[in-house]
Amino acid sequence: LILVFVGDGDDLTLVYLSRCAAAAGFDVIVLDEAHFSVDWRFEASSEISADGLIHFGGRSIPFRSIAGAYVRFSPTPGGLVFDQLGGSAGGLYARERRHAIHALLWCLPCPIVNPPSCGMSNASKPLQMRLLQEAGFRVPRWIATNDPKEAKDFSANCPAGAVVKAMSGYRAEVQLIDEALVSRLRNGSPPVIVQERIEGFDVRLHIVAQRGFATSIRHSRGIDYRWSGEGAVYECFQAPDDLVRRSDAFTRREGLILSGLDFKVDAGGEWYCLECNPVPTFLPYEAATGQAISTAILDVFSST
Amino acid sequence: VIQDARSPLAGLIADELRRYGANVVVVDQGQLAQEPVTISSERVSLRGDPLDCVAWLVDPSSTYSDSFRASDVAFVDSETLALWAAILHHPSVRSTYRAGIAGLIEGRAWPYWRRELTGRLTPLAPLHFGGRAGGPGNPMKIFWLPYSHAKTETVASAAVMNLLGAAAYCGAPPVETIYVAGQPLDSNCRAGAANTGKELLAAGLVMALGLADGGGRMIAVDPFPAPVDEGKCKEAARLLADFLVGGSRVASCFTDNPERAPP
Repeated sequence: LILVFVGDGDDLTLVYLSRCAAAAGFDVIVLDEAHFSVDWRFEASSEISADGLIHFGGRSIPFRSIAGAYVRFSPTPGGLVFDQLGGSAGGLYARERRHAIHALLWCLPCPIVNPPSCGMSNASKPLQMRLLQEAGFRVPRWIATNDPKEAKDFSANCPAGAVVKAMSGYRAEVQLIDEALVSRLRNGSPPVIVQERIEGFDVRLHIVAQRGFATSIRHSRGIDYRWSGEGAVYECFQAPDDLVRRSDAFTRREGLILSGLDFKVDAGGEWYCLECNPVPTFLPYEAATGQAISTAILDVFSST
Repeated sequence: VIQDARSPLAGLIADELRRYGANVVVVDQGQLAQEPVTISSERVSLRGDPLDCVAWLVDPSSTYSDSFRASDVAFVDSETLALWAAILHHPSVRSTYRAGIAGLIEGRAWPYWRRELTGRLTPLAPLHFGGRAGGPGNPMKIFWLPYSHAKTETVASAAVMNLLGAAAYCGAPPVETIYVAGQPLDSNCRAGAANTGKELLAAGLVMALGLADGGGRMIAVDPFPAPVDEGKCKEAARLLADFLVGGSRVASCFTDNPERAPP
């Protein structure tokens, strides 16, 4: 069975999963975005998209022979042609290249983990939190604002304080709201999300085609374990069945096969959903707990 | 009204909306990051007042952060688009773009919009990737559709198509039609255009530019057009204002796609 790994050929999670796949006997092909149009290309038609071909390493690989695709793009893909063009031409080339690879993925008649343009609600946290609420998740109260008075008033109504988060998919540390933030808003900062702080421990729940893999993360320093979680303890955790079902339904509604949902669990055992990540790096959780997330992903490909 | 300064449309819509008695704020795209906005799951306010309607008339890939330092622009633009994506799709807001955040990010990429329109009544032209359409024969007989432009160009060479796996179609040069609130603005447009307008509206595009080949099949959609023709802008402004204040003529378009219907 042929598996294609598409995107950033140096991404740790992509490299790890591709090696797992090779060890499991798959014929692994890494289609690095940075080398597209130089080392590999494709041809297809919308009329018979499944009859397309990928040209790679002297091989012409029919779309129909591909069992699955795993996708992880770099936010800053480079490459020889991109470097040579530079400037606005390089930017245009990079955009055209990304769209072209999206078009390829839409043509492939096999499971894609995850399809392009799916799960994009994560790029607008206020939009995603509303969708999560509509899907039945308990979401901590929030506002998005650049009005310092609104931010202070909201924070004052949160017994455990409030945290500040980025609005988009940019990776940024979650922090407690403080006077410095309010001062930045006063000076013309773009809007931020101000959200009720939930005291408790973190849980990352990975969903892979209806299966749930929960990891608890307990740490004593800071607010955001991704940034200040040195010494954090990762353990397998049992998520409630109905929560896993709801998470799976949300994952499928977003068009995804794999997702990573972040929760806070308070002292009373209430689960608060923070977000659903469409490109989760499951590697640290699998490495720390031994949960077979990568095997579950490969199962998706081998079962088709 | 979030405006692109290149088009007179924003001012015309603002005039139409004021005729309905609306309190209208026109914001230049480059100033959007600094607009005082608050949003929660229940409400949206702009400059301290409830925000009911948004006319989104700009290319989402342009910058919203004219007054910010160059090193902050990428972050500020990303945050601002994220915020306004939530506003445009908020249940309490009626907006001219409700086609999903993926569409804001994909921009004019025809393969994306083609997928959105597949399975509807609008006929779609075949799309070829990677040189198969032109092959080694005569590449000048086909058109290149740059993914990010929504307009066709002649193919410089088969090598161009091979280089990027570029999309292409074969046929006559395309015909442009602007669709607003489900209606084609061109009275001489092809048969079936009314269906196309309704389907674009049902997909969440209250205004879009459609390109069709000689056979009336769609070859591209620009979901963020900036019309400059005065007559078309006036008609578009009238229809958009009517849509934003709740004109009833568009309601029937959403029976198959209620999630994209305006509140």
